[in-house]
Amino acid sequence: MPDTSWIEFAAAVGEITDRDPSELTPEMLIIGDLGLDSFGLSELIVSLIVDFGFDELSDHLDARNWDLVTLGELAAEFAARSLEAARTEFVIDFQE
Amino acid sequence: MALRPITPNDYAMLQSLEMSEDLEARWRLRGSTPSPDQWSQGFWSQVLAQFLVVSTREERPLGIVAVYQPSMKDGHARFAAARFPPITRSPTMMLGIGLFLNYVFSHWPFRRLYLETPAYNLEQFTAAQGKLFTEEARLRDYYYLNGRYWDQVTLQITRESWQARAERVLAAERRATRRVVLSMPGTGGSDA
Repeated sequence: MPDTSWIEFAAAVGEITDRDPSELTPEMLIIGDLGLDSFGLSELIVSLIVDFGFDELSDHLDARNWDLVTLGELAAEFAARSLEAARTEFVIDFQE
Repeated sequence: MALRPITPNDYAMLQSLEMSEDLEARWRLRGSTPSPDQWSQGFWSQVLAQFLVVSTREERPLGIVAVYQPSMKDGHARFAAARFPPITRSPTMMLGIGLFLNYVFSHWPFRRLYLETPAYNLEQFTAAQGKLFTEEARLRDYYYLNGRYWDQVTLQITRESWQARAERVLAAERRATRRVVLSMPGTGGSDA
C-alpha cells in the first residue's frame, strides 16, 4: 500500500500536470515519462514551491540532471520537507 | 538564478559557445564564423538589453537573454533566449527568462515581444505555446539546414500573458533567493 507522503506528492504532481495520480509511479522519469519540456518542468517547480511550500526544491535546480530525476526521488525530498515544516510549526506553536 | 550584465570578459566564452555544435544552428550565426571584432559588433547590434542568466550560488552562466529591435512608437520588440550546453532540459533557464521578462515589461511599455525561431527549435516551446507564447506568423521554407528548408515561426509574448504568470514565477524566485541568502555564512541560516 502506498505511503501517505507518496499519495500527497502524487496528488500534487497529478494536479499540476493534469494526470490521474493513480497512474503515477515512483519509478517514472519526470521528463522522459511525464513528457515535460523546460516550460512544463518550470511550471511543476513553481507550483511545488509556491503552492506546496517545497522551497528546498530551489536549492539545486541547475545542479540536477533532470533527465534522470524520478518522481520517487522528488517524493522523498517532498516528504522530508513535510517533516521539516511540521517541526517548524511545532516549534513556533510551542514558543507562542 | 539571477541576471548578470555581460562584460568584455565574457566575449571569448560567448563566442565559443555560439559557435559550438549545440548552439551554432540554433542561435544567430547559424554556421558562419565572424572575426572577433565583427562578432562583438554584431553581438550588440540593435540590442536594448542583454544579460547572462547565472546560477545564484556559483554565478555559473546558464544561458543568455536579449531584447532587441525595439519599436517604442509601436510598443513591441524582438526577444531571444538561448540555454548553454551542457544543460539540457532544466527549469532554471525558464525561470531566468521569467526574471528577464519581468525586467523588460517593467522598464518599457511594450505590448508584445516577438520571438523568431526556425521550426526545428519549436519543440522547446511546445508546453509554453498557448500559455506564455502564441504563434503569430510563419514564413514557409525560410531557413536552410541539413539538406532541407525550415519555416521561420514568430511567437509572441504579450504583456497580459506574462502578467498572468508573473506573480507565481516571481514568488518562486523570491523564495529561492531567500534560501540562498539564509544559507550564506554569517546570516544565521544553514545551508540546505
